Amino acid sequence: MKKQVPIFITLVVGFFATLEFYLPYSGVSSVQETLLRFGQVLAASAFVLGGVNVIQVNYPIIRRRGADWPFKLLLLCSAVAMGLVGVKWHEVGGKPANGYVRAGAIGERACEMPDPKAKKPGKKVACGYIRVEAGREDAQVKLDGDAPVVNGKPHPSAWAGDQHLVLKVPVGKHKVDVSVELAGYGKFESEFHVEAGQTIALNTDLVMLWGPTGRVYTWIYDHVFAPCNATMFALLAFFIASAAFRAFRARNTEAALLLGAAILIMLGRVPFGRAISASLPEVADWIIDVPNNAGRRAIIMGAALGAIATGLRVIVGLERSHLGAGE
Amino acid sequence: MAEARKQDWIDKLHDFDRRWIFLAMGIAIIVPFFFPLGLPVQVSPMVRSVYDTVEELHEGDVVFLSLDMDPASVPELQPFYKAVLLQLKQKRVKIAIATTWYAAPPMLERWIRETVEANFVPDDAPAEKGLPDRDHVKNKLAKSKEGRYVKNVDYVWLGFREGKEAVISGMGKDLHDTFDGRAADGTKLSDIPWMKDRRQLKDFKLLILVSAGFPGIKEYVQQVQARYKLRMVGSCTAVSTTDLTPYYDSGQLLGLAGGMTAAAEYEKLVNHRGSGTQGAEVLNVGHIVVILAIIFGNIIFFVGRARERKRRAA
Amino acid sequence: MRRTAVIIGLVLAAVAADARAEPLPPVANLEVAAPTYDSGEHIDIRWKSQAEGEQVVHIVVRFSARPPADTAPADLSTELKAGVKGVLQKQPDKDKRAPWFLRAPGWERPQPKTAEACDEQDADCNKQEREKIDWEVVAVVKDDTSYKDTVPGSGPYVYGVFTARATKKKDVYTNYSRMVMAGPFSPRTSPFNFGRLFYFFIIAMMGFGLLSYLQRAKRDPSSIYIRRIPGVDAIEDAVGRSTEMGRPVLYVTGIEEIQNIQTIASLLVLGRVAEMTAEYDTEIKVANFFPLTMVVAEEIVKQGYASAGRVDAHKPENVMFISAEQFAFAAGVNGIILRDKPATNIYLGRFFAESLILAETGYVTKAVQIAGTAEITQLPFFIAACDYTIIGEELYAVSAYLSREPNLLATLKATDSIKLMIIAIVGIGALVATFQGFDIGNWLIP
Repeated sequence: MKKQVPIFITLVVGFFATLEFYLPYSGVSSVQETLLRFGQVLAASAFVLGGVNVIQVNYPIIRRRGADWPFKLLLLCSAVAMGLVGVKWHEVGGKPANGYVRAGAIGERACEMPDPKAKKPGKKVACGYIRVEAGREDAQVKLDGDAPVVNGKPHPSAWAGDQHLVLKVPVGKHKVDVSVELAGYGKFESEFHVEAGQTIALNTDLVMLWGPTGRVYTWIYDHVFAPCNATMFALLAFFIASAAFRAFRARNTEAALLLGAAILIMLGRVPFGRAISASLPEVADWIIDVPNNAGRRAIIMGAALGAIATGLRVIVGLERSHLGAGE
Repeated sequence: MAEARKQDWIDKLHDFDRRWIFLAMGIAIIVPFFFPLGLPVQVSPMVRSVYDTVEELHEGDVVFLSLDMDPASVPELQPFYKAVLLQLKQKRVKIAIATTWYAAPPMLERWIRETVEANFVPDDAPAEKGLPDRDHVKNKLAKSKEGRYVKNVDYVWLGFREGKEAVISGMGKDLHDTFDGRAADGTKLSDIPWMKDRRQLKDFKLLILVSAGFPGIKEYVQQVQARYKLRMVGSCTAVSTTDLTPYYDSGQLLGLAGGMTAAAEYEKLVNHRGSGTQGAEVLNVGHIVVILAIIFGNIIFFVGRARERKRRAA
Repeated sequence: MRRTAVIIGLVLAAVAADARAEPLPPVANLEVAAPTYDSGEHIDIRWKSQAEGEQVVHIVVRFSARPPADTAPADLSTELKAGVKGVLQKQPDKDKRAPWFLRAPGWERPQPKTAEACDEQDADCNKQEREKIDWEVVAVVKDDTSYKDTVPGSGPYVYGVFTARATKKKDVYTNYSRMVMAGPFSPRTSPFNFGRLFYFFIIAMMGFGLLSYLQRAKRDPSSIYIRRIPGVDAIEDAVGRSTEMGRPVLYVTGIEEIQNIQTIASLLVLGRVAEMTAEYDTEIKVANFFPLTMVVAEEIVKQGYASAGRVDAHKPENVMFISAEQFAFAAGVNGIILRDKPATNIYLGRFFAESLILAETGYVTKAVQIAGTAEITQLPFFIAACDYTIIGEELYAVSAYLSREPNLLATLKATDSIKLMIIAIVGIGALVATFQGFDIGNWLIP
């Protein structure tokens, strides 16, 4: 029973999946999609097991101070740290506000400014004030979708020197965004109506975000993960040179052919090769387009047939090594 | 005495430490950064095809840009991305950006801030000037012309979706459904005028695919290109170029830029000397080091073999 | 003079307006058909356009029944796009008409009903319900003369196509042509996707080949001859070497998910290798990229040890999940190689850029390295850096080869016979294409 049940399930599901490719009925494909979703759910749940396995493998070594145990400790601490950093702590207990708006009295402070919509200068309109009380020195402000213009120049900073930025705006509806360039901080957005002589104060305290788009996560990604990833990939440059040094030796005819082709192709790709002969790039392209392509296609076709055979072997239950060989 | 010394020399060659090769490669990589060689860059037909296809776009056209990569492939693919972005910005084409690689979003969001939203212009663009203090609309246009794109106005960042080929197939059927009708920042796609009616990949004028592996250009070709007759160009890592060239030959890809060399060629076409041009020089010198290492390895092999034959004869 | 100019201007404007309002020529040769090998959810609509110009579009409307021939757009200022729906109903009282997209004389939008549903005895109400025609704009097609409609039910449906000209206002059109209709037509479900018949043929031939060689294997097991695959033969020798040196065997299952056939092939081999290591009393360490692969690998290794009668020797902590990130995985496996110094490294499965990193690191520790993958781009790196490389389809043959079971070897023979058949088809196809100009590929796989 222990082997028969899995083999039976494999047979039924395998045949169904194979037949689905040939039967256009929508009911059949929807069952197939459901089965695939089952697989995705299983795969996702297996990540929990993977995490447990990482602890199971590394913790005993740390406990008994085995070889390289500090690195195992670092591994576990990093994993836990990234897990904690990935939680949206800032939303625990509710989504935080990044600031609030304080509306002053209407007509509190007299205000007049040139009409921005007027084609000819001279016309003045009533206005109000927007005072941005940013909590951070690097806060940036946008008024109605763009950097506010102060003294004829765009002024994206929320500070005017060491003073809070105060903007003169025509009476009417306005939208203000306060943010920072650094990733991982919240944004303050507010839309309000400014009356004549009124001061609208925006007190912003941009919250540091947690989670996958948070500050710490982004910092670790930019300063740890990305450089490490790039470094590992960069090792290939050195390994290719040393593998080529070791492997491309004319031990026999086939090896000599391989060596010759490798040199021709590499020379054909660099300006030095073009300097040696104008035909080298064409020779390199021919080697890639003709014999290389022929070999590639043969391997692809053979591998495809092999994959079909392996699939059939597993589906019909001929191949049972994954269940324990022998009866 | 001389014969014994010669044998020691041959023995030393045989035990040649490959770390010398690493050192030679390291020097070959570092020196061109400080002393550029100025090697000529010749544009290949495949790369020219990419450029010409993008050049056919007009202002207001909408393209779909899929950036399927991770930090490891940045040196090879980012130069092409920057170059093609410059070209798209000059044409003031609207861009929908997405990715199918889970490690990409934080990196891509930074790229978007640094290149799409920022004032990123070609080398020969005029310097930023002071802007008028009136006329808000002109202000915005001037900024766009100077290279800044506004989120959800000039471009939309759709984000990442898990599912590999299923996601690509889903985007072909219904893009809005695949991304739950929203951009990565939560904005409804139906609220963005130029995305409202673009529900399938075939609704985009052109697909530009920058891919480091799986899933990538191959999966786009297999899942959606033939079915919806999509116009696609792509950039891939050098090692995938031979794999994808048949798609270019068959016309399924309208152009293909493979590796850093192709990125350098593209930078030349858009008149922007970036890391691709710099990297291509390093690549050229690196190739020479590999060729020399192969030759040196064969010298060691043949010298050692000759000595063995002499010994056996003796 | 000025008055004359104004009059001429007005006349010209009227003429121009008249020209603008002139209906475009209707489409020709409108056909509806079921797409080939369809699931019964689509209908293909094809036509020939007789109008030219950049702004010309074709509006495809689906009706639940055949409407009157003079059905036409009523209100030209209505925004029109795919998804706009309506109902045509025969109304005796023409005064109660309301403007909407389609109108036919005598057929207007139905008035909202106050009663819930028609009483069975109410003949007039029932007649009105029967004479209702639902319509929906399914597509506004530009630069094309066909459309594949996904239908909501089993039909039948009638399709009407208008030609129109786009205006500056979005989704508003003018110069509507006469509507050309086709149908009624019901979608059809194809019982079998005959376009994929050739693939089915390959699978069927593989099945027949399998049965035939299985029979042969039962009759005479020695008749099933498989050539030597040096890389596979080396596995047992390498495991023996590991035992002599007292160092473990490292097995890497590739960096793809378990549903990938190369990972499955690798796991099948793992069972046999685990049994071998159990018999030789050697430690085996299995590095996995995905947790689900780790779970399955752990079970396989346990079964392998059980088959060798050495369940006590199995160490579950030796089957590890390293990381689901490519280069973190490579770094982790490199760490295992450099610390534990396995005497044998076996890399079977799907690999990408990390292949050379793993192989070169293994070379440093002087391990015997056996690699096998069907990933074309990585084969050169393995060939350059490993002692033995199992190329492409050989990866799928390893499990059968190691078992030496006639039943499994028979599948390899079946695969080879199919390969011969394909070689013959390719050869014949090349000759036919060269001398007759006929592409056999398009005929086999439409």
